[in-house]
Amino acid sequence: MESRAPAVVAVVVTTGPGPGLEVAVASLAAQNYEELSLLVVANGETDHVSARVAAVAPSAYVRVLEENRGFAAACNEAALMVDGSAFFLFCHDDVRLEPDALQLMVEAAFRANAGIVTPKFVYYDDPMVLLHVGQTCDRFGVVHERIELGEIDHGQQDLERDVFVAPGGATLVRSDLFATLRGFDPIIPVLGEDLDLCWRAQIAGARIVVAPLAKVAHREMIAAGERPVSAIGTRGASRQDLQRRHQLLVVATGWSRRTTFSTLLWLFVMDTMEFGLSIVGRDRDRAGAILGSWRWLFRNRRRIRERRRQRHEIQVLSDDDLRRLQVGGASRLKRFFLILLRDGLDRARGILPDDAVLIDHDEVVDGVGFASAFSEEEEFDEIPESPMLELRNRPSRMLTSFRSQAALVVLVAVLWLIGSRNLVATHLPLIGRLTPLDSWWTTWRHFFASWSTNGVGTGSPGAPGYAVLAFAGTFVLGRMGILPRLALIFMIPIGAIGMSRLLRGRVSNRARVIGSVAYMALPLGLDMVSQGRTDVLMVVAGLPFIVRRVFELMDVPGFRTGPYGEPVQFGHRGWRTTYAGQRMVLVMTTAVLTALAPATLIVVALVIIGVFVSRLFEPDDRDDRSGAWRLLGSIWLNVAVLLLPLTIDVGLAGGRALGVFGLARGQWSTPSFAQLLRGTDGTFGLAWVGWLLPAAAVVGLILCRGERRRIASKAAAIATLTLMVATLDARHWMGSFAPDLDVLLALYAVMLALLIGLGVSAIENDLRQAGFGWRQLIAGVAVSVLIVAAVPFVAIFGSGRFDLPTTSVAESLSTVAPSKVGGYRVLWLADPSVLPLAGWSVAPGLAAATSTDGLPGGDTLFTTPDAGTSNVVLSAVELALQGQTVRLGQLLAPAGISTIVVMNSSAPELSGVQAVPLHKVPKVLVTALGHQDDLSLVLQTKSVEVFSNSLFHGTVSMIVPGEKAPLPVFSSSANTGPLAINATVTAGYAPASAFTLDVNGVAVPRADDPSWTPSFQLGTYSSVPTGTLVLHRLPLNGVLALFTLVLWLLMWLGFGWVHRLEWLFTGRRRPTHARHGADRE
Amino acid sequence: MERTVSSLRRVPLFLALALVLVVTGFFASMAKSTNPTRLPGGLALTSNAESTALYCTGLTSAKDGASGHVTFVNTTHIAHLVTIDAVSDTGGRYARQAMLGADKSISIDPSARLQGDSFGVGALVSGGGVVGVEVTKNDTGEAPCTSTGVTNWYGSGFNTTVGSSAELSIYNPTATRAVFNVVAYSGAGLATPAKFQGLSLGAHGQVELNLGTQIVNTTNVGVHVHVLRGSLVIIGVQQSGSTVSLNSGSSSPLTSALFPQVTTEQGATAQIRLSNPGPVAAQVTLGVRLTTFHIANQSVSVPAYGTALVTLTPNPAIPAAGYATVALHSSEPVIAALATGSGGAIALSAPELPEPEFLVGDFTGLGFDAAALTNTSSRTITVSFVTFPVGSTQGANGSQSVTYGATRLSGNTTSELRTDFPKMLTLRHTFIVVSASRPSLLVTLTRPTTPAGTTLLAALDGR
Repeated sequence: MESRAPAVVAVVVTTGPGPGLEVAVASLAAQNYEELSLLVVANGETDHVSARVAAVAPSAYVRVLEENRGFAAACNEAALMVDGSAFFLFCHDDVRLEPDALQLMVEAAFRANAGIVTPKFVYYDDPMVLLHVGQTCDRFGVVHERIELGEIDHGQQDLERDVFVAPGGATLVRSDLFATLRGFDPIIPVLGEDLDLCWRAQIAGARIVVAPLAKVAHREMIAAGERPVSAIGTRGASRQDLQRRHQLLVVATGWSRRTTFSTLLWLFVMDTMEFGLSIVGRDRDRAGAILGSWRWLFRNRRRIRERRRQRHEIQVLSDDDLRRLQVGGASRLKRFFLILLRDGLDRARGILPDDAVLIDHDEVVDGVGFASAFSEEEEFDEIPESPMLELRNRPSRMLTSFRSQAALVVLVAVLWLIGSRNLVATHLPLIGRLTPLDSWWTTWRHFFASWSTNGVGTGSPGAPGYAVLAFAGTFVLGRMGILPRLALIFMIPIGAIGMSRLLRGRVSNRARVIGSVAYMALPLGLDMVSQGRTDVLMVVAGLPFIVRRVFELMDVPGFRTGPYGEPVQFGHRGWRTTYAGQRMVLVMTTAVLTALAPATLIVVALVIIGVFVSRLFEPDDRDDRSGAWRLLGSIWLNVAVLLLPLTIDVGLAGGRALGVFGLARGQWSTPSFAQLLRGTDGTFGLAWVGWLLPAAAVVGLILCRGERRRIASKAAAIATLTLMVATLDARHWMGSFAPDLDVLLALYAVMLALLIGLGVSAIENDLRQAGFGWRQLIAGVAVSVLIVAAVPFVAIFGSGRFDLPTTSVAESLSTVAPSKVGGYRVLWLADPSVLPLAGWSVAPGLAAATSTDGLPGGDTLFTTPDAGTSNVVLSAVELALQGQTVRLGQLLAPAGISTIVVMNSSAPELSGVQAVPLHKVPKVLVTALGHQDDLSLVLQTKSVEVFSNSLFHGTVSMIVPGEKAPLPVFSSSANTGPLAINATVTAGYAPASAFTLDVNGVAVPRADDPSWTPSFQLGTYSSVPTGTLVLHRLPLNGVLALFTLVLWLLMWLGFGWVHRLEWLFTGRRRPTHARHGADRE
Repeated sequence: MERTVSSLRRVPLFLALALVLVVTGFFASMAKSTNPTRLPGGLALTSNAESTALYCTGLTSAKDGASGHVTFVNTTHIAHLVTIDAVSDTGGRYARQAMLGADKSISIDPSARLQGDSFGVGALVSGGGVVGVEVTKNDTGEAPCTSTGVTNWYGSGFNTTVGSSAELSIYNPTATRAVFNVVAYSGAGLATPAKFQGLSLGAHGQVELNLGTQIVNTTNVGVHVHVLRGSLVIIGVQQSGSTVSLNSGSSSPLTSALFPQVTTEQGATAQIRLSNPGPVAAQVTLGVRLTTFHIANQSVSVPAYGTALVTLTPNPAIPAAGYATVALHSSEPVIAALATGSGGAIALSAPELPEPEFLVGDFTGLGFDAAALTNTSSRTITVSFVTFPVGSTQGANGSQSVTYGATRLSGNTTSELRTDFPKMLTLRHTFIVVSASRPSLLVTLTRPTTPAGTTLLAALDGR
């Protein structure tokens, strides 16, 4: 009978029991295609095959092979047996074809002039679920599905189209093409033979199409592990081994020479990374598979040469044409990082919990994914080919759910509390700014005081920092001792919260969490805890909030999504949401921090300038350049007004005005440029791991795209600017302008954490848009870096106090206090970073300050930038430093200085207990002090040297006629006591005009003495006269302080409180539900 | 509306930021900073000081043969109040205040004021520009007073053989009690006498250590005084026959030194005496420059913790032709001293260090046989001279100085002062302040002796 249909020979290869053989053969026998011949090849298994086939398809031919040579060899053998057929339909024995499947495939082959046609595969047990609708692959031979896993067949894929790979199971191959390709390559007996055949067909220029109307159910028994691989050449090899070696073979022979080299090179790099991770994860099977695949490739080099020769013979498509048919990038690597980011390393490696959480539908799923290749479980490698397993083992999405993020936050919080356990109740050393605070009331008095003890005494306005501390003390019910502990324990976490707010809306919650934790892990904050720098810690806490507000006010992209509120009258509700209100919030926040650490004003300026500079290169849409300077001016001006006492002090300071921002440190003990790059100024972050987070920040900068890139560019500009200023500062290249280095580094840390958060977000989002290349590699580096950086972060919790010393140099000196008579001062000389109290700069690396009657107290936390009369002390030290005096003791004696303490570190170094960085004073100082004729060295250690002034005569002294040396008078606690007749009383207090001496209740006129010390000449009295030194000052400072507080109150009322409290004055209550819009009416 | 920005637009920004970082990092890395350790020195600087001090030690009572006087000279044009405080080893103390007028000098003989065997003299000056010198009565020993103490002192070349005595005269100039150790080097190696360890000296105290009591009958002894606490002024007193010399020593061992005025006269003796305070043997080379003669280098190996000497005069390789300039170079830091004399008696001189200013004064009235100016640097310097006559001990402010101009001195050359300044020998009771444009000047003086050049004097450098 003559037929117009081309002849098709269906070759069914069966191995072993083949439980689906009857169904497969029967479905083929039931095809409505007339010219179909059926050939069953029993691959090394002869038991009952003929009978089983005959039972369902009596007309079928059966060919029994003596041994299992694999699917490829069996197909080749069958092809040799057939002559005159137009097509071969190569089938597994676990498929079930719809009756019209073959006809539709043949029609598709003719319609598209295709060399290979693949049907639509569905699940064997559930034909409604799609299994394959053709496949594609990348240049590394990693097969890529075209459908979602578990996708329900609604006919959405029923479009005939070209594909790269026709997945095995039921493949229609034109006979002449099969002959041209010399059939399957028997070196690939199973697992990869379909990829190899299709790849070569593509090279030969044949089209491969999917005929989606042809429906075939496939059981995939090998991939599901239901059937062992037993073909010749597969002995001892796992499925993972076979997949890897066959992919490698295809890649090694599928490209031209040049492309092969680069592709293999990339593959080698990726395999090396995977191998390393496998070794770390003790995944021997995977490591063995990787090594084995390359070894196998080398062993078959002769076969490779032969295949390459064949490739050359059949080649029609060039490499570029071939690549256009494939997917870009490296599917395996992409998948690995996607899973790593979403679900963590363990999931990416494959040791995942069996959670049945579905993968995002937008997730790209690969046939043989990098992540799946990392699995320790063998079947994990088969996930792409075993969708049921995949459905069973859907991974959890680590750190993407609220629960997991909350868990991480709680974990970090708990770790932090554990890490700070010894800061809660144990003794705090006298270092940095951990000076014991005075009582709540006394601290307020320091702010209002007309005279303070700084130096030799000053009548300058009180520092606003005292007001901030006293105000804060209100919230702890006056328990001022709690404040330093709160600062040490909570400022860094508050800063992390600020960082989270800074990142909010710009990145994912996961990136926010990572950025915030990175901010906590950056070394600067930890260094500041270990150095007791509570002032800088306040900046660490507040700076992220300030940066966020500056970015909002400067319209940095992404930071101001909505417009500001309509203009509202000052004091009315809603004013806070207006531009002016938001600016005032920024001003007040900045002012609070500036009161504690004046260099805050500099870092705010750096933020604004950084954004401005960045916009010069990369303008934003709403780019108002002059606005930057207006904002800067506004902040500075308003802060100056809100901190009026400090502003006046600065105005009076003259040449020392710039010293308000910080004192010049010894450049021999400042951080090196490398340390600045790491953002460290202490013991933390000095090891190589200190480079990890900055490196991750750089990666973030590189990877960011779109809006994230604009933010990242600004962060990078600010960080660079900060680093430059910090370097200039550390090297003293800015003269007397030496802003506190640690405050500058706080800004640098904020920018690093911001870049890290943005970088994580970029890996989540921007990396997908990029093709495979260097971005994936550095993203991998960044992820690895972030993981490794977590290790030292955990290690810092060990000491329970973040390496804050348990003892301090200053406290160990309590025994050197001289007699209680006359009062005394201690002159502290040290690098500004070591000095435990506020002072003035004498020379780079040397600051001086005095404490009264012993150790520094709550009144020495702040000082005016203007030394005023205290210059007599500083000048004397300068003279000694320059070798121009040998009688420093004599020069200091009028100030009542009994002891000179030279500190090289804030705390003694105790081997194995505490390590403290040495910030040495200029060595010449110690030499100079050693040369003084009237100073006696009484204590010398590595940390401190103490000199006693042999000419000390008390802060208040009198010269009695007939006596050569002055005698100390009065006590340390009270400036009153008995005096001698006709004596001359001299007080080491400035300004001289502020003091009078009352003797027996009558004021003694002050002698006309050119000296800075007030002196009084006593007359003759009938009995032993009793004198009292009295301070007389107009309370101008108090008025100024009150005025400043009123200003702050007014500003606070401006945030709607005038409106809210209006009823107090008018007696009319407004309805509580009134909206500010209605109020405006 | 969101503007699309090409990714290339960030390249200039990144380049600019990278450039800033690289430049900043480069310059920051280049500018290595060190903790400054030295105080400024020199006559000029001290002239405007708030207060200065001068300390002299080494003078002894007459029975010990090194008696003499200390002279303080005001080189400035304003009067200064000088408080002189002399102490003896027995605890005696003598204090005196005097207003030292401009260009005036004041002398004190402590042995005439105090009981004791050895003396230390300190002078506290309200201001600067005052220098001091101590001179033994037989005019053989002369040493400048110093303004600061040292924490390490090295001396070399001492003899404790019969007929000689070697002492360390130690004065504590500060209010801090000093603690120190003394170790000695000789041909027998390192010696750490127990009696010289952990010694303590009270504030402003003075003591004399006789090396001969611990290092018996030894020639060429090197000494290291290590001050554990405080600082000290130390002079080595070498008595050899009737010759008394004051060895100022040095504060650190040297790998190079210059001896510009080494006699090669017939009958004279000149030796470079070396000690090695380190654990590695030092290879020392002496280069001798003598007028037009070409003289081969003299070499010697100084064993670890040992001593050695090189005899330059008499030396068959070195002709007797006046003064030679000897340059010492060593592979390891060594202590060097020039021993000069005749007939078995020697006087020790420590190598001088280059300074910017010197005061040349004839404190004995014997005049000078030679005065050499040596430029130790390779660059030409300008040397200027200012003379002023020294009047009575006290006087009013005023200025009688005369500037005699300046001369150029080429690098690494030695010039005779009288060549540049012919009137030098005729100016009795006149001091000359020699200033150099760079701190690379050495001024070396010798007293008229027979044979010539056996007594070297130190110009005052305001140390």
